[in-house]
Amino acid sequence: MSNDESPGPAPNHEPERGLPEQLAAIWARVRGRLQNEVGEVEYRTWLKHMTLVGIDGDEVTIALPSRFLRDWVRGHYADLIMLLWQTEMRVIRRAEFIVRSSVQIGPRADVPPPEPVVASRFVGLAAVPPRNEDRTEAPLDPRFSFETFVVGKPNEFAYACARRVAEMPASPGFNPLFLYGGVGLGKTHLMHAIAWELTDAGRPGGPVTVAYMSAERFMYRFIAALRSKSTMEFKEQLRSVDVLMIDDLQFLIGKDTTQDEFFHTFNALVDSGKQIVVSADKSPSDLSGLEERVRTRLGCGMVADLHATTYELRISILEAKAARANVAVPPKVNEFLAHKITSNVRELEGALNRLIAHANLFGRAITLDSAQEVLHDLLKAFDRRVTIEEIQKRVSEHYNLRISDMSSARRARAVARPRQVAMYLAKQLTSRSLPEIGRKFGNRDHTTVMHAVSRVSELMALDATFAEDVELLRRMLES
Amino acid sequence: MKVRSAQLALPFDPPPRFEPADLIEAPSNAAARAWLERTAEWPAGRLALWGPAGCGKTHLLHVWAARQGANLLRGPQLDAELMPAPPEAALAIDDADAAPELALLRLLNLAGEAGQPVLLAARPPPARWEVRLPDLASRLRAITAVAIGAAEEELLRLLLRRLLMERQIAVTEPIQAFLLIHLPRTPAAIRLAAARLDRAALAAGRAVTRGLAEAVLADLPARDLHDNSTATAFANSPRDRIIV
Repeated sequence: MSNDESPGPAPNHEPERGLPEQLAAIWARVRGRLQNEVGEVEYRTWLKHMTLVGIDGDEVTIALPSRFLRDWVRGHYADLIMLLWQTEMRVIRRAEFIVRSSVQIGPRADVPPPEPVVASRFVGLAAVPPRNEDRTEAPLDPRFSFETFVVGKPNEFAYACARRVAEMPASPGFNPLFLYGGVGLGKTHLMHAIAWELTDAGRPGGPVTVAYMSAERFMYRFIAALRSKSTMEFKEQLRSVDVLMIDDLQFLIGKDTTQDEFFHTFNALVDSGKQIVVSADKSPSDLSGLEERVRTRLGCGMVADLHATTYELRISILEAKAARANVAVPPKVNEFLAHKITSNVRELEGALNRLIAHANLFGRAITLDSAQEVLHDLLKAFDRRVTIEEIQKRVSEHYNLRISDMSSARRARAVARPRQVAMYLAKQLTSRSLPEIGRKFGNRDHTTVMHAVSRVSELMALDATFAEDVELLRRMLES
Repeated sequence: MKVRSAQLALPFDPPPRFEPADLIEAPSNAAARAWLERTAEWPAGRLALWGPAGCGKTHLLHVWAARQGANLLRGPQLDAELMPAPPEAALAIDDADAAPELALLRLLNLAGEAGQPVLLAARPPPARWEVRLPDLASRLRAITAVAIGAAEEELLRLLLRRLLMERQIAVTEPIQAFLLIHLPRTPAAIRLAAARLDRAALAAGRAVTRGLAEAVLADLPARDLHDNSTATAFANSPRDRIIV
């Protein structure tokens, strides 16, 4: 059904405060129902900053203060918002989401808008000399940006929160931002990505000062300041930043003085409306060794966790990483890695890094075989220590002989050849001396073992089937 | 037992030499040498060497540390309580699997932040160290680990000859050949045999005879000389020439 007529007197693309009463009332109902549908937290996080721009024909236009929020709302709530609008106004067929960073939330809004960050007051990270002893920042890893972060179901929410803070630091509900999750799931990656974004010279509104530190570095800097009696400077330095980021907070717990210092700084910054971002391995409520008031304060902003990866996410990560490194990795290798290395992203990427570096260094292509060889320490919990007895048993079974044939004096080829194979494998797979190997094969001389080894080597070079057979035995013994 | 009861002679073990020139280059350590020459290509700036006792890890570590101007540390000496300063040079950590976990984690983190490469050495690969701290365990499992393979016969022969020369004991070629045939085929066994031979010769006050060599062989502990955990890692690599 098409409708050419504008359904109401709503002026096209006017700010919300200019909305006629009737439309404002409808919008308020839509928002109220939306809040009931998605819940208080989700609403506050993503939807609170929506403003109604207006209605034009069958299209409703809604503005959001940042590109990221716009994309997020469009990606996650567009259908729901459409549906709610349709129940109010059947004519509505489309919802358009636009970015309007300067939009002031009208008098109806129940919360004040986020304080805009004033660019002129802040110095970018680049202004700090890189080797300055007094710097509070740790160098950021250039690989850890939002662009290189592979998003999937398990980390989607944490990613969205991080982007949100990077675009609008210190907005209500997001301060402090507490990112937590098991090791190697991308906490540090998101932390660095936030810091990169905030200190980017081309950032809308200009870059802000960020102090990013691991808990270790914080401790080290604080202890050094204590020693040199310069704690005041250290405190002032920390309190002068716009955004303080502490990675792996759990390592501060138990260090009483350092922990106290951190929380004084934390409180001072939060009170003056600065953004804090903290990462840890557990949620605030599960961090043992924290005072209750500290726990409460840490958890009073946004708490987002990074869940364990799924197979699909692992595949996406591997593909993205190989594409960035400009390396061809066969899909079979990616599938193999995603199946075998399920613990976390760090180990998964570490494994792929190893394969790529190995391929570059030795000029070989990445194959399933090379992956198994290069990563064998990672894939197998231990390398088996093969004994001569095991070798004799396996070889006898393989050739349908009795174990006693391995040490018998029989010289028929049907017995002698397998015996030679067993001797060959004993030399390859154990560090026993040749006389000792000989003794285990019916007290034979070490020269007999030497002969067997060279005979089997010769035959393997001549006869591919025989070589495959021996290779198969070797693999069976090793696995 | 004669040998053991006569061990009153003061043992003199020459300090191990870790000069680059003394490194025996063999296919079993070719991968390790290739990696050590390209520090800039280490993923995340970290590398671990692993392999059985006496296979040359410490030697390689020294050679790399000298070339990089790296600080050489031993794992067991790291202090878990001390908060280390961010390293200003590369780090080489021997017996890294014996380091206090928190100390090793901090060093890895700080070196990472400071952009300094870290070389670890231990017998087992980092993925198999017994680590309880999950943060450290996952970092270790992500490290590029390079195995030193089972020693070639030629490497063992050169090693024995060098150890005997360092100890200044004259052992004839036939007796060396005899030892090489009868000893377990590991560097650890060769080292132990050289030390025992030195003491036995000193205690007996005579040159190394075949009889003395047999007595030393008979007295070697049966255990601990076999560590073939890496024996097959490079079983298929081509046997290029060994360079001294």
